[in-house]
Amino acid sequence: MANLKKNGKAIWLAVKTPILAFVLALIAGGILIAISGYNPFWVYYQVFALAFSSAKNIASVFAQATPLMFTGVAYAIAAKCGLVNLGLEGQMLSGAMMSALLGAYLKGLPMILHLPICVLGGALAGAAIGGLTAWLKNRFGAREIITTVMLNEIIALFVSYLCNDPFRAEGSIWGMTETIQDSAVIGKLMKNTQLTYAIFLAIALAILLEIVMKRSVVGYKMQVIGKNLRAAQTAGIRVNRIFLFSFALSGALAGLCGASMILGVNFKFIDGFSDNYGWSGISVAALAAYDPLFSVVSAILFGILKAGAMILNRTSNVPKEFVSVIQAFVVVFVAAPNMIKAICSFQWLKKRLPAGKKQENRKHKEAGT
Amino acid sequence: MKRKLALVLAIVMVLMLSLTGCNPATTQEDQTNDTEETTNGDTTGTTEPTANIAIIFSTLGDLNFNDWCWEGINQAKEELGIDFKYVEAATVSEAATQIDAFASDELYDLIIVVGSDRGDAMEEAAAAYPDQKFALIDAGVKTDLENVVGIRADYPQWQFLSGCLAGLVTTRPEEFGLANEDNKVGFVGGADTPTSRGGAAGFLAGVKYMNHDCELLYSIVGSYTDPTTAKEIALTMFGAGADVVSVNCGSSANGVLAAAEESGRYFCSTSPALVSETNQLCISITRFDNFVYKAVEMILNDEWQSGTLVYGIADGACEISFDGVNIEIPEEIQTILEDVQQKIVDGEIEFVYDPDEIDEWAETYNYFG
Repeated sequence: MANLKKNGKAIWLAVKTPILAFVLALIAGGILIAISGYNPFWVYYQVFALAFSSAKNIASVFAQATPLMFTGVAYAIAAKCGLVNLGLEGQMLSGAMMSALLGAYLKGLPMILHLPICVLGGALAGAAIGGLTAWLKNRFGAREIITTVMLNEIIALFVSYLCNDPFRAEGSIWGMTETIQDSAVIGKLMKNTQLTYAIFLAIALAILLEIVMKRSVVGYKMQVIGKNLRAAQTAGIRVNRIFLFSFALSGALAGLCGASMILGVNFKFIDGFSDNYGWSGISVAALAAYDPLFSVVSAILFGILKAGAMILNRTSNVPKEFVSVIQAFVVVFVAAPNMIKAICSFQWLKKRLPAGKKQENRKHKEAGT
Repeated sequence: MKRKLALVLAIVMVLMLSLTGCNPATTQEDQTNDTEETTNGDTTGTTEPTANIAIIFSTLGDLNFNDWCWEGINQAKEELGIDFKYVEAATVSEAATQIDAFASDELYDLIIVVGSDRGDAMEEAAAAYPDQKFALIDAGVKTDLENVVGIRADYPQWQFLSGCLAGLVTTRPEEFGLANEDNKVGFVGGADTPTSRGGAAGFLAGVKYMNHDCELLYSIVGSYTDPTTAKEIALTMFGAGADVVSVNCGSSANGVLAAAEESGRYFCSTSPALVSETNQLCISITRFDNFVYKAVEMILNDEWQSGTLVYGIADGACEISFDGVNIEIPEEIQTILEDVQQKIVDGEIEFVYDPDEIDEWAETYNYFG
């Protein structure tokens, strides 16, 4: 029993910050909704109610969540060993472009070969960019925060060039590549929705990585590095290798996000197709306390918000941008754990109580434990 | 510190409650009863709107394309008595979801999709819902489905009149203070695409039409978002003796505007949102609002046409505007422009679609014979 209680307390401590951050973000978003003239309680209620109001809407929730699962897990994996991968957007775009080109120009292959090649190609392109960042860090000591952000710019402009100039589809006004072959299409789970089988890949990878993190030697090493880099070095862990591994893995997952969007949803690389999937991954992972499996859950939560807001925008013209605001606030609040601590320790309340009561309180507490 | 935080939170909660307390009933009803209000005010007793339209924008508030379409649908609401639902979809995959949702509602006489990048998403939905009519604004369609129409401008007609004006201005330094003796006019394009070439050809042909000996300068930035390069190109043009430069290069046009102001020469733009106070000569406008309005009219008058519709000056789809321009245009020139416009309406001018073919074209077409 005592053990269970202890476990429960440990879990509560781990999830306390994200949950409170989410609640605070909802409140902050609610203020903005109220300022723009809508009732936040009504909006939130509608968002959650509408998201589950029909099979198609539920499909839309999971369709919105799928890319976030990939990038959320991607950010979490890097964060586990203390790396900040802000390059998810670029890695995602490179994976998307790679799979779009492989899908369009590799002809005559059966689906059983073509589809995996395109998916793997996307993952490898993302991994290559991630690996490059790790190499720059290991070899030259370049801070990954700076290189990833800068690489994002370079990649975004480069893929935009690719789909506007050398690989622009015949006769297209907007910058887009040729449509991929039928043999490279990830099937839809439900007709006339954007939900594809890629969601199973995302969930399977999240479970696999959860096991790797918790049960394997590499996962253990990653956690040690994340907790204390010096100690890890002293213990003889080859930190550089782990950095390379985890950055490449993170990049591969981001690349898969791009591949899943191209092969399942857009069927071609369209300039500006990304809804900031890479950046959203940071909020998703932050809300999941950088845990791969929780990232899936938090991606679904954001999926509900996004899909619900889209439907609400359609039925009542409430602007859906408030979801991005909530997403951003989650990161702000998670990044400020002391603020959360201050709020939930209720010290500000206790301070107001007279001194005598304070002691009484303490006595109560001692008696309680 | 913590007390302050508590105070802030308390204020926030109170604000939220007070803001929402007075709002919910009105906002909700505003949203749902918007149509009833307008129709209830109608004393003739027609409570039903003449048609239900759904329209999908990319981002409203761009002061350009999307806002024009917004004008158009509102004009249709006022003048034709339709009712419309609108939604914003920032990305193509989001637009696809929204198009499908509107189509599956089976409530709308027409679904209007704003933006050429959404063409494929729309055609996919059109195939799935053969009884639902769709209209794409600013692009042609590729399918021969009966329920799809794409409406776009005839690219050369867009800037032809501006070109005519530029051709006249460059020879009259005594009337136009910023013109010079050199008989040169320039055009800065964004990318080397068929659309972009067509637009450039229209302007440059207009110049040649009025001014057979004028030297044409034509350059491409290679990006729609690179004002720096655009400015350099424009400065070179002005340096070489051009006194009027027009653009079709998105936000890169800001650079051309800056170059015109620095060099003290004339600038022609394509958006009322991008106007120089001192150096503006004219604005070439595509009336996307008319596209939307005409699509609605097709439904109301039962004159549905599928395929691609191309509108030009004769249809009121392209025009030259002097809104916010601080330059006096002499009556003589205005008469000439009106005359040219009449000739186009009468079908006397056949347009040229490639800047390379203008010299040949100018052999047959010359305003002053």
